[in-house]
Amino acid sequence: MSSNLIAITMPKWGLSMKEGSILKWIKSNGDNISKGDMILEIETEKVVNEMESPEDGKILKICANEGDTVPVGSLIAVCGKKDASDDEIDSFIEEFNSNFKADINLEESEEDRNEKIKVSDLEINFIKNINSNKENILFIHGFGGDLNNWMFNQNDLSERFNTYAIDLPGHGMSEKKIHNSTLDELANLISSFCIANDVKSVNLVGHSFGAGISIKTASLYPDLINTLTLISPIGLGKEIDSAYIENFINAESRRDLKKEIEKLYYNSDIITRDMLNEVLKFLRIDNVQTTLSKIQNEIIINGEQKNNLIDEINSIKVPICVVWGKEDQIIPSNHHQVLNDKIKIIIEKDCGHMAHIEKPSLVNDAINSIILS
Amino acid sequence: MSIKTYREAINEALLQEMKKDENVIVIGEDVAGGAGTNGEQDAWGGVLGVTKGLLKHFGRERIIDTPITETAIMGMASGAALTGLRPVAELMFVDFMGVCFDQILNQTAKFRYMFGGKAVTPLTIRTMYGGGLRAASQHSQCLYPMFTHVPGIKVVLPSNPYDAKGLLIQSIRDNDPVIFMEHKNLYDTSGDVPDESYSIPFGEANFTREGKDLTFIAMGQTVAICNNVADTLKKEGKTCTVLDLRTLSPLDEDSILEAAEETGKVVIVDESYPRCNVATDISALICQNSFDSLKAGIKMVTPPHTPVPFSPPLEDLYLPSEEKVLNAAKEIL
Repeated sequence: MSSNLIAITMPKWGLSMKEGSILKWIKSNGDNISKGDMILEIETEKVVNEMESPEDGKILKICANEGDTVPVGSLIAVCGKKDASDDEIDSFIEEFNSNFKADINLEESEEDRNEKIKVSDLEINFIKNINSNKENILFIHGFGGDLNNWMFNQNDLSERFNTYAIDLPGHGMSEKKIHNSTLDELANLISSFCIANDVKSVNLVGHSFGAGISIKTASLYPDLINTLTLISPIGLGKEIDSAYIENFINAESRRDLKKEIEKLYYNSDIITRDMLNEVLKFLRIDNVQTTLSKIQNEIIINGEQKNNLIDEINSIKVPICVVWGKEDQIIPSNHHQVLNDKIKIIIEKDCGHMAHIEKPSLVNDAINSIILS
Repeated sequence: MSIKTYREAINEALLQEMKKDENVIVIGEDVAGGAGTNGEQDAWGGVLGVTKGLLKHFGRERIIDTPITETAIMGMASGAALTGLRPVAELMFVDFMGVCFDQILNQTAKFRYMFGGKAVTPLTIRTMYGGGLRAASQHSQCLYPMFTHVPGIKVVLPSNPYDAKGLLIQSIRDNDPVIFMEHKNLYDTSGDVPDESYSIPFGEANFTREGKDLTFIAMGQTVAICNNVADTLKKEGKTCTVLDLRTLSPLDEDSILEAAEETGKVVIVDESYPRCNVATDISALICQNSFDSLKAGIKMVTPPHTPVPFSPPLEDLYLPSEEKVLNAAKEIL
């Protein structure tokens, strides 16, 4: 097989993804592409998103057309560093397809990866991906989220690092109760989780409320933490869209919820009905609303943020990177101005509160470089 | 999450609500079986085994086998609801509601209204409906349009195990009378059902497929038919929306109109008799509000206006099938 040619395949975004549909090719046959360029739009059951080019090169042949639905891992285009003859391309495609078999048992084998562990007297759900690397990453989602929020990040980063993603108490598949929702208590839970998994040092990646927990963990357990990557963190200013949290908890219908979820993204086309249904399924489970209200009371007081973590974050010794969507409607990105100059700050244009979903490669690169720094 | 059948989902909803609230009781013919005899206890668990196993948790006080008298079951359940209990009464086949319709139509449905809101009637009536089991004209009807017609009653038609559990829990917690209708063919279907307790609000239809070319509107058993036809059409390059109404009363008018306007082509699939049924009602709703968005006449796939035949070949010919739904769709695609 020619080493010039590169297969571009249907990506796997999250655990449950088995197939994806090509919505639109942004690049065409013959276009030159650089690593990170948006090359096409893909729709899955949960999300609509753009796929970035994995390499520099040129698109030589598109193999899946707009409207096609193909299994994860299928060939969707052939790229090359330089031009190739039609024969070369055809034999590459033939060889790829003869080796490729869609893994129909994917769902079963993947679903087993959810694990439960008793931490601080609560049953905590998590997914780990261990490749005997030196560095560990632990992902902590935000208010109302779950470990699937890291669908564009965990798989990617698992190539170089051991990764863990947890469902916070009251979220995802973890137990739907919380004894004490203060950041201190949740930082204790993170530390206990690491001890229970025999993780002696860890790089935390936290989003929003989860970023607040990360800051608190680093300040209470400095020996445990190697680096922090914080996406749209709480605790750095007073402003927050408190109505979002209130309406999210009380959303009864898909229409109510959609209005709120749209605030999370710069480009709300990313939201599918299935995504909203998944969130509604979660909100309807008994005790979820009460648990979320408890957490709400730890985040918000009189319509403003309750926690002030500015002194804490500025006195943390380990490397910190903060990523913020410029158009974040939940927590304004100008809160970064209170950070000291040792902290690396990335403010991304055309991006809202969910940078890890809207700009996954930016966030993944940021995590990579802060850990390797 | 784990995989459960429709039957197991309903049983689990009853078990969890009865554990949570001691006011919840189950009343019906052979809901356990063997009451007052020396024979096997809990022999039946309802005619199709849906309530089996509840007796050992809650005893005869809360799992009440009744004589064969639908009038007494509904009268007892309505009265119990007025006193503050939350009865789940089983009407074995919806076809039998004729003898107890006064209790449902004139009494239960009117209490809250006629007592100026001072009385509530938290009654759930579980019942089986639908054809396909070779059970002949008196055990195969749908009849949900008759309940939907009466104000004061809520009408629920779950199409899958997840909805069955969440909607039954909502029915039991609701303070109004609810007719909860289970299609006989669905009991052995299975799907993901959370082990935790959860409720699905009434009046919120569910999009089970999304597309651009045509909209199927379905309820209960017909949802699976429409999903299959939508999948077939997708292979032929046409994408379809399938809207599962979930509850007929209250009715999610917004989602119906949204789904109809998005594609402009509508096929409604309803297993009940064709005159004054859900399909005609929804068709009128769409014509009144979204006429300008329609690109073709609305298609309705329903049985003919006759009793359900006993003869198997005739019953197959009578019921809405994937083939009929596919043909109706192709006529306007």
